[in-house]
Amino acid sequence: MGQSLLEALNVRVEGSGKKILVLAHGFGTDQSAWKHILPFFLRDYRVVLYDLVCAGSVNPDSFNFRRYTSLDAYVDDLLHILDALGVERCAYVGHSVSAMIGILASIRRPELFTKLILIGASPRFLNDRDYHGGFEQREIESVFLAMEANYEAWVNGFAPLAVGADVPAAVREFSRTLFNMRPDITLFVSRIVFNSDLRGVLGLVKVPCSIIQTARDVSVPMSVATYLKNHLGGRTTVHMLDVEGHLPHLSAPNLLAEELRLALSR
Amino acid sequence: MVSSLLSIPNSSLREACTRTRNNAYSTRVQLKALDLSLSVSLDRLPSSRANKVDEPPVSNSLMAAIKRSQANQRRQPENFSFYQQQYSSCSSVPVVKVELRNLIISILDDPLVSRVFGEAGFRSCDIKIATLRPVNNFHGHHLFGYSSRYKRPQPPLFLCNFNASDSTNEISMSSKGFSFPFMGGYPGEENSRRIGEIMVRDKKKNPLLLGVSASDALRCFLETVQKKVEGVLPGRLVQLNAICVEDEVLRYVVGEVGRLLQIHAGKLWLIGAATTYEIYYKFLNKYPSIEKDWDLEILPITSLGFSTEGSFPRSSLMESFVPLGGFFSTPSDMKSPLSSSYLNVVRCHLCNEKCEQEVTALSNGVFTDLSAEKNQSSFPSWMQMTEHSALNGVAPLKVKDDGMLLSAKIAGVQRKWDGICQSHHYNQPIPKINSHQLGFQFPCVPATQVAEERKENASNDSSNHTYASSTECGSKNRVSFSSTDLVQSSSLKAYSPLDVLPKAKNLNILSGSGEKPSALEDESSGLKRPLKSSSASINNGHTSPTSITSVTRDLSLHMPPPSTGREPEKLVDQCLVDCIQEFSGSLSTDNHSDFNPKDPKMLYKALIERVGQREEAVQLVVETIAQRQTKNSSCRGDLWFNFQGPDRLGKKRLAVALCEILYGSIESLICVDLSFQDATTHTDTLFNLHGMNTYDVKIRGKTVIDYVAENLSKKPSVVFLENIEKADPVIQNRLSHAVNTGRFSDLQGREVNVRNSIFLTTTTFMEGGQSLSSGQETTKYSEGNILRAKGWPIQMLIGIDLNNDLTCQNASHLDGTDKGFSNPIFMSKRKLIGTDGRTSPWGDLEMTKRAHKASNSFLDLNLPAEGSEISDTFPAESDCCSISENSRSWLEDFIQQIDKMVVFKPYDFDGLADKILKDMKECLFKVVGTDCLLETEPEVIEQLLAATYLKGCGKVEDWIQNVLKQGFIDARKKFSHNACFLVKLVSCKGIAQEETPQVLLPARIITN
Repeated sequence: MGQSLLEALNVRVEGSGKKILVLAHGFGTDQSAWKHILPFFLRDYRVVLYDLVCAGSVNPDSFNFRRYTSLDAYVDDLLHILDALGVERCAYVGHSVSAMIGILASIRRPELFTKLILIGASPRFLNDRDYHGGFEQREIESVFLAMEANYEAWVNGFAPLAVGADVPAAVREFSRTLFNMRPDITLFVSRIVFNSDLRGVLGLVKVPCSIIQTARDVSVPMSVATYLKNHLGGRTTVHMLDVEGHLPHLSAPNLLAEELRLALSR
Repeated sequence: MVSSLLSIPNSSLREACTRTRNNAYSTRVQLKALDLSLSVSLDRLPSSRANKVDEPPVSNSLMAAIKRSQANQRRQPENFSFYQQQYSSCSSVPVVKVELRNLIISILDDPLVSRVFGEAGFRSCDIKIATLRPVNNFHGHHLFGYSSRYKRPQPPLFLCNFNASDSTNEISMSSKGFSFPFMGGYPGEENSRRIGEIMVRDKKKNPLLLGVSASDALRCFLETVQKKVEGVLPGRLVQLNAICVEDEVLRYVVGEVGRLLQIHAGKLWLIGAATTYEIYYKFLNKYPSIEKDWDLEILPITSLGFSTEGSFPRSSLMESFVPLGGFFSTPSDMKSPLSSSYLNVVRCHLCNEKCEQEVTALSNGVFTDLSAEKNQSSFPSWMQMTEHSALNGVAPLKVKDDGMLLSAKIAGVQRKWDGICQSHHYNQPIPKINSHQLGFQFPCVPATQVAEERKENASNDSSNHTYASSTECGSKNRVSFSSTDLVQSSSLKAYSPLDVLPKAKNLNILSGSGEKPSALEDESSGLKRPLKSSSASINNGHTSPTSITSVTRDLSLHMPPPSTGREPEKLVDQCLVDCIQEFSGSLSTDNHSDFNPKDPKMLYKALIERVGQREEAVQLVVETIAQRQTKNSSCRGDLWFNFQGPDRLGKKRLAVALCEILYGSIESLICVDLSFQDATTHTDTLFNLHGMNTYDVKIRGKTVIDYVAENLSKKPSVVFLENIEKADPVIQNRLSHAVNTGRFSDLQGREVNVRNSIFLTTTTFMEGGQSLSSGQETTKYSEGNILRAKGWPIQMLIGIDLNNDLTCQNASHLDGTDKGFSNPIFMSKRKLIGTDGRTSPWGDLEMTKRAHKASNSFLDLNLPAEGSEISDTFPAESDCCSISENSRSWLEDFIQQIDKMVVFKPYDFDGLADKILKDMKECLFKVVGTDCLLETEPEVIEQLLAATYLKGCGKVEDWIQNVLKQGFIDARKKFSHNACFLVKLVSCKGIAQEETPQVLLPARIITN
């Protein structure tokens, strides 16, 4: 399992620092999303990068539709990787779905994580009775619908929305990685993500968390950050980034890197 | 061809699919119910195929394909035998599979179909392989993906069948094993598997499910257990029996259960479920040791169960599957109702609801129904005990009787309703099919909806695009606009070189160019600087002396250079005279960037003219440039400076001046403040000049490195990097690299030659990292505060010196005017006045003095912070200390490699403040006389200082002479009283709205 998984998920370890930092990309991107952020941490950290199995850069044959039916399988992957690399303590930066994965991983193996930094994290994207996740079931279904109808058109519409249309380069980048994903996997994974609900288990997280939230995020409303802060079990701080977009590491890398550095030192 | 193939077969295929599936299902169901004989099902299946063929509106090609495939299948006897074998084995699901597989393979054999598939983007052999693989292989779902992507007829057919036999409502569910046909979706199975894994462990084997859908997961698990489905649970768990115990009951049996668990370790398991951690926590509080006693292991449940909400769940879900090319609407319709059947595992939705009602009625509030998920009670809605069948006789006795009774009753009711459901509502015993048939009632409606929605989407998309493009256009327009303007201004430059010719002509052109700037100035004040820069380059560059002078004068009428005092103007003239002398002979250079200030003297004067008073620093810079030029050939040509010390504005001004003089335009200036503080202090916005490239963290999608590299690649520039001590490691690396090699590389690894560029870096530190705080402790006005000063309107408050025991005529007036102040000090003052109607203004004064002192001490406190901002921005933890240590050592290295270190002295704000105060007092004295006292709020002084700092002394002097004087005169008119006045200047922070706060020197003084 170990070595082949490392290869399959394109695990890379970069940098020369002592401490270990895991950068986990979110839905629709791959580890290249961190390329602007990575250089900032090479000196002080050994940075572990990997692709989620759903990423376009991973051989789609590795995506076992039987296995990856809940986030737990992704958590397994992450923990396998860390174990295979012999990581005993690490700081974890997770974006979007990887933030969820990080939360679950830290519940399972609290001793492994010194710190979770959650970018654009949401315990549940769907609205619920007294919870505002930002999406109605119907909206989601129409998103899925659009995705199935014409994947390309969906990507072209979604990417600028998620990144912010004012950053063409970042939109291109995000579109590229989105396109790299096989549409059926994209759909499958997004269903998994939207069917996940971490609200009940947030209290089990004992690792200190930093939530990085952008001012306008199409996927994660501000209230979610507050919700996370109130319900996460560990010491939790919220940092606002005064930029828009769900992918600050693409659209405002400098700002995010600064914020990450601050958050990591906290 | 393809489109015609697609459009026509769509409907027919869909129908065909539907029918096939119906038959398949009924077959399976009937088998399951043991109602149908093998022969019946055999009869029906071929008939289904026949149906398909009989479908009227099939295009010729498809018809042919289907017929051929049929023939194929008939020709393959082993298929049929296989098929029959399967049937005889009575496992319904595989039977359907095999049959369909054969059909599909035979269809795929058809060259035409395979071509269609090929066009659709997948090879038919892949599909064949996938089809031939074991049923629970997943390639089928890969195919599903393709089908959704390419919207071709065949795969849906394929899939419908798969999905149908899967009886799932989601793709995710369709991926679940076939061994588990009546259980819920895959997430449920996954959870059950995990529960099972925990249960077979030696320790911590009693799972406590935690999560919003934990109860769903638990129910799933229990159903798995009850149905004794194999393949999900570890073998030894298959024979489990489940007993449900509610929390209320548990209260009495907590201890009991613990004991039980100890006794029957290995045979008895306990499963709990709680919606959220908070609830669990409450529970823990109630039974603190329960986690240990019960040997609980917390298992986070994160995937949502598909809950049934509303009578007919999630029409939206149906929609979602419709778009698979219209023809695919049936599967979607089929799927969504299945989500209901998922939860109500065996009963149909309606029956289930009734059943639930009965059950809840039965449980009488004590018991919460099993299927009433997400119970709102503040406690784990229910706890369940699962136990080994061997213990059946023992454990139930120990659990409270009523619990057993109730659960038995519930089970009975459930069974009853199952029966009702099966017998009454539908012909087929398993309701899933019914619900999916219900779904068929409106296949078209969602389709149209979808079409509409799609249109909407499309239009949204397009509007998005147009929006984006229009904004782009806008920005482009703007860019082009400014660039044309700049062309105009540069055309000025172009004119002037021509002026080497006859004087008369010169004058003409010059007057023309003199007018142009003024017009432009009217148009956009932002263009002032470019124009100035052009004039500057004209000044210093070259060309005919007369033209220079006249242009300068023309321009200076409209827009005085930044440091216009009278002296600077003189300086300009002086400098120009120098220019004339120096350059009268050498008129060869037209190109500004070629401007070689070979004469340091001239450069120095030109710089001083712009920068003012920072003689030493300017001198150093000029010397370095001159040195470099003398040995120009041997060196790289890039220059590196580090400006140290405070006086941010001075540094920036020098950068601007260097850029204008050496590169001709402020556009060549690249400014980055690496401290990334809210870079827009007020004065910054005033000083940031139009046309210069300033990096802002809000420039999206670009890092500093990329930004600088991009601009450097355009042309040689002055790169002005402020606060490099705060540079992040990346920037540090690049800078070191650039210093060493003369090449600046961006993040993509592209290298930019920095030859002919000047790098100006600034640090607030003095040499050796010592901060200036020690030296500054006595200063009243810190640079930071000055730079933050806002341009509020200035108000004059007039009181009468109550030393003379005169009534305080204006006390109320003072009182009233104070209302606008947000300053807490003044608030308290107002209170004083309010409580103590006749308080002397001296009290006032004392208050303000105190305020002044307070703010002084505040400033003092603030001062060290200025010097050590690193520790401000980086909290003093070991982690960040190491970072700043790192940067410090880097900084030292970096400075070693730099061409020249230039120290800027702190700007003498205190002296300046004294001077301003003195001027104001003199002014007041002139207007009113000696009896007047002048009191000035520190904010006002700061504002005036900022004005001085930005615009030079002359402006402020002028302001005092004109505006303030006028204010005094007005005041004197109002209070013709000759008694002792107390004049107080305050800044009106609250009432500033009507006037733009951009003006540091307001055009008039508010008096009332």
